[in-house]
Amino acid sequence: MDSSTFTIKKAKLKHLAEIRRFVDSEVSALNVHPDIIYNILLSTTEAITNIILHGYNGEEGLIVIEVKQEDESVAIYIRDEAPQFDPTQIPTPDLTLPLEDRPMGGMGIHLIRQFMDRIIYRETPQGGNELILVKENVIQKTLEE
Amino acid sequence: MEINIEQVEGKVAVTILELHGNLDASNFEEVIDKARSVYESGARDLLIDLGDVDFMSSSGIVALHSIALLMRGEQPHDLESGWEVFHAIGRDSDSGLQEHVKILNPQPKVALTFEKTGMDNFFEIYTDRQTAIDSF
Repeated sequence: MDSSTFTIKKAKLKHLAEIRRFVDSEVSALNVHPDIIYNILLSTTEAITNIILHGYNGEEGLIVIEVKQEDESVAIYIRDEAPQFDPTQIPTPDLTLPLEDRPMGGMGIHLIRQFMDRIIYRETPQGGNELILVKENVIQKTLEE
Repeated sequence: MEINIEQVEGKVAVTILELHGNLDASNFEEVIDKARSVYESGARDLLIDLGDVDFMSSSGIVALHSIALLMRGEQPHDLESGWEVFHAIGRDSDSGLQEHVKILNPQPKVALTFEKTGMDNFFEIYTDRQTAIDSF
């Protein structure tokens, strides 16, 4: 399996569990350790929560999730049609900053940085966003390989 | 999410909230609402049993922190405040353990989220139910 795609045209927060089931199923099939799978599920949940709450302002919108095997790495591609915004530019939180200097956002990007190895943002030609979450060298070779 | 409530007597009356399922942005406000209802019924010491929570996102951390604020008589966060919520959590995690909301049996992966957000400095975490009850 090189990639597999799941599309929700009117994604809402209630779809988070369904999205996790899809990602869990696809990543499990790649022979990834369960602890790593949890970290991928958590990161995916955080990213999509932010898209729905901030990109779509709590309204429903298109979300496409693609799970790709890239050598021994797993890449989660998340695409949406929300206004273009690069979450990788959200700075690492500085708890000493006064309130008025703190950027808006949540804990999500902070946790994604903790658990994923690479986070790549791209604007889509359609005017939306693509976020790629990569966990490197996690696909375990089977004995037959 | 299924939430069971139990009242027990240790050295003080303790209310146990037993959560079942996944805790994320789709349902974290249910947990806060349940805690608010038990507070309004007089509960002041709360043990949150996470033994049957298989998944918890950052929204779960916000819920637990909000509940801790509720139980000490403060208003929980404006949940639209983004980083302000996170910074408030950070300030509280630096302030040390609070006394009125404790955690029971988080699964290892859920416990890791507590660590990554510093909330293990704010919540006492127990693996034995009776020990947790007696700690209040």
